[in-house]
Amino acid sequence: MRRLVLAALCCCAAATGRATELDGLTRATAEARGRAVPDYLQTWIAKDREWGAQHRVLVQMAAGRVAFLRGDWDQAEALLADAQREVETIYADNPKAQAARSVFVPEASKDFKGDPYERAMLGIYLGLIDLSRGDFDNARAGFRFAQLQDTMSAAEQYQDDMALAQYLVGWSYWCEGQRSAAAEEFERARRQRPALAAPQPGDNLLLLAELGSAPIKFRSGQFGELQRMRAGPPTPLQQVAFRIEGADGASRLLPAALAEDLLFQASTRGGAAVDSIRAGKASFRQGAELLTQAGAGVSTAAFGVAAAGAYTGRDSRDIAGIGVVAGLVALAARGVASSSETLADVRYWPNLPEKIYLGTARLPAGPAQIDTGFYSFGGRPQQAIAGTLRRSPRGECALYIAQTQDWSPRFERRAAPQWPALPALKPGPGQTDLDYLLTPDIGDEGESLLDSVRQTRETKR
Amino acid sequence: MKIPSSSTWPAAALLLALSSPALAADKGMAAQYQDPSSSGQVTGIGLESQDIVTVSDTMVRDILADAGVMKMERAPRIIMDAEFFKNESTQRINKNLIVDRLRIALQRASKGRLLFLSRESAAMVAAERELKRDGVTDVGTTGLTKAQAGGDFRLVGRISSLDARSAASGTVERYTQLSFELIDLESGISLWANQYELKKAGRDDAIYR
Repeated sequence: MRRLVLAALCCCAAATGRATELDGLTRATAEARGRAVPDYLQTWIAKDREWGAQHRVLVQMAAGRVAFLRGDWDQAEALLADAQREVETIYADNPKAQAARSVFVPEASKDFKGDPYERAMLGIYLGLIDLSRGDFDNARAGFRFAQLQDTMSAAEQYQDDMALAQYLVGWSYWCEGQRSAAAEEFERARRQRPALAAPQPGDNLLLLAELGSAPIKFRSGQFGELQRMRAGPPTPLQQVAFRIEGADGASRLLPAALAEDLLFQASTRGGAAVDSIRAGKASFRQGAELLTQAGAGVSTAAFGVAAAGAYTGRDSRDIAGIGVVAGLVALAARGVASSSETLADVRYWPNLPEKIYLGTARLPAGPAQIDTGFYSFGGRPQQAIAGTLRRSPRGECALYIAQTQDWSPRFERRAAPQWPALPALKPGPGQTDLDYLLTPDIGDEGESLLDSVRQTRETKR
Repeated sequence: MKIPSSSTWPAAALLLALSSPALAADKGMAAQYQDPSSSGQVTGIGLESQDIVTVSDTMVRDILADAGVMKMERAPRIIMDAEFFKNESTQRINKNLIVDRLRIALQRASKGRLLFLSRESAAMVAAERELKRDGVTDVGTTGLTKAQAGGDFRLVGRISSLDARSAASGTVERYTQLSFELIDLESGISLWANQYELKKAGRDDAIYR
């Protein structure tokens, strides 16, 4: 079936020569399974129709991520693989790209291909899908693709520093039994993030947890020509632990290590060639605005002098003529300035997480229940959710993934009361105490009071 | 999601966009047949259909010209699938695209001088054998064998790549190497080997760098 999907993709791609329309792509994938296109993708198909080719990769990324979160990994693979193929296509003489360099065309009119951190996540998710299917070769290719994207940082210290990708390459070797190659990759990951420990002998379960919101691109600079990154809405969830319960009822708590911070990855790209194009557009506009001001000034002054000459009876037609010319120049410059397009492209993959945590363990024999607990900075449990467990077909390894839902303190306090506390974090780089976002604990007396208020309301109704 | 509204574009920019050749690409293109051995419209630095056609054709010709493989007293039995064909490159690829093309081309060209075993079908064959032996079905028309056929040789190989990127110019390069070997399944001796190399380089428009 997977081959059919891949073949359908190849046919669509060859026919259109660019990212495939979502309608056809999702239908081909669904038909290969003998199903209809799922309802949850209809919104994205409609968006794709509305927005067209220039935003297609962005829509594929977002829709693919939704499919991934829903566990529909066939659709996720189809969407993300098509997006990756487009990202890999060299846009050497693409007319839209050429036009987007013009000062009169918005940068966002180019086909979206994403920034390195977004492209890297394409490789990560495709690699995870392959990993869950026991296709360790292609999983590694996906993770290495992510590493390759991470080499685009201008500053050398930020090149190839994506510890998550390195660890996952190591894990794919680990699952194949290539322990020395795996150890090498785990060591590389540990050098980036010392908390990332290599798996223990016998570990065959990779646990991943995602939390937080996608990094957001925004504009700054006098003309909005600079693209900057900021964090999404803050969350007080800053620690993660996994609880694994076997068929015998024995459970163990496994604190997770932070494997990747996407905001950090997004913010450390540094100077890019496109920055100089943006600066050039801004400089052009600034020049046009200066010319507008200068022309207007000269025009005003000339008309003033001409008016004074007329009052004193001197011939001032030449000076008035200068005023007219300067005024026309100012008008033209103003028109040019207002027609220039300096705004940086700030389209971004909106449903990525901010941080990814991981751990490894031995999967208990037989049925297993695995849950993820999300903790505050101070180590108090806030949210407990079940995730998705997938065993590779030959049973070499298993993959577990959990994602935070919308954070809600009232919901969480009831959801995770039985989880033991973790040690509090220490403030430092990348670690800020956000526990003030949590609703204060009102205690048992407060809860009783609230219950009595609720009962009174119900009685009155 | 931050999507710019076209209604905010100044008239001059809109006119420019409308007159640009990019609009032709937006119109879409009806599906049409293309030559798999031709360079497609989607071109990157990875393996593409024309590379798969070229590499498999090259290997087929080389095997057919190899006396060690083709001049055996009895037609050798070969297992040729993707099981031991590793992808160690940075490109996700369906390895069956290469191996299937290689096997089918060899099978057709060798006209019985090479026999191919399907390990992929082993479970299916075993189930049918059981039905025959249990008397659920008759024995068919070609008779029974003691066991499924054993292999004499097996294809192994790997796809490897070396990627380079120039931070200064934005040029990306990928050297891809595909190696193939036929391994004797008794002695481990490599009966035949060959490799195919390609290197591609490209540079995105500066607006993407």
